[in-house]
Amino acid sequence: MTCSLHACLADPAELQRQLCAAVANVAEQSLFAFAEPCAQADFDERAAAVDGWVRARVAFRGAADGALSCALAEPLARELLVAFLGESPDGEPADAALFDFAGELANMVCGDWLTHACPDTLFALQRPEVSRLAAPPGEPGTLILVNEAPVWCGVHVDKAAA
Amino acid sequence: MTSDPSPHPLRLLIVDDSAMMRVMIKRAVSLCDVPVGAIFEAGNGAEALTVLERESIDAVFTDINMPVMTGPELLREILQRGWTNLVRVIISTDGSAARRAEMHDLGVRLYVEKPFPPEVVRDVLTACVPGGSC
Repeated sequence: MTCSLHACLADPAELQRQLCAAVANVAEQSLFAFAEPCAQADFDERAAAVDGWVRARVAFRGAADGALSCALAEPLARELLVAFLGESPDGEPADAALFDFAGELANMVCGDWLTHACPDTLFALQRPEVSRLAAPPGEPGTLILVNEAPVWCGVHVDKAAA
Repeated sequence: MTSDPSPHPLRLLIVDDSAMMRVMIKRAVSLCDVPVGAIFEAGNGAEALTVLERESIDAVFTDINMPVMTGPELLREILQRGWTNLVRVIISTDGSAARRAEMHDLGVRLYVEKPFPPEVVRDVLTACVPGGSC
């Protein structure tokens, strides 16, 4: 099999399709959630109603060096954490648990995407970096609804390997 | 005529730098009907070695990318120390053929790709008990 990474990085529509597929796979397999593409206007409307966001960034090195980021509404992150663990924690999940989960979510999306884009290529994924945002990232990205809540996913590439 | 002895409850070690992933794997294990005696946890390969030196473990479930000591580094240590009876299971987001081949060379016979539904853990544990496929 060939690596489609560089072709998809040069084709925004294909990149969006692949990222949406990766998020949907993670949502369905591990979170018992449903993911679907979202139009910009719909995303903006739903995002405006969200108070806080959690963003997780996973850097990768391999056929290309870069990073994948996922930003999701904080209430959705808490809902998905409960689904991931299969139980409701006593009270609200601590920030450490929420950030750990958000990082693992981005890690799974990144790994799923790279494995499908380049099934024969080794990549090294770095430890996720997680932070809070007041609003979703303004840069272009893939817009997705997970359980009808907004999720932003984007890829930044540093350089293509020779 | 003698009957087969009941398998002893498995003693497992889960190695992942994500505490939430360790909780999720433990929960998936608890849903299985395979007898499990004890579950130990480690946040990286170095912590895992400390547990393996101290405890009798039947199977280790390890991630690949971890700080301090990675999964492949842990697996090399296990080979160097001759702990070849230990069932080694990879649980990783990296499902590439190249990574699977690398792990196979390090003695891994069971590979779980994240994301995974909980029932995948049941299949892996079933393979780990005596008479299983690994």
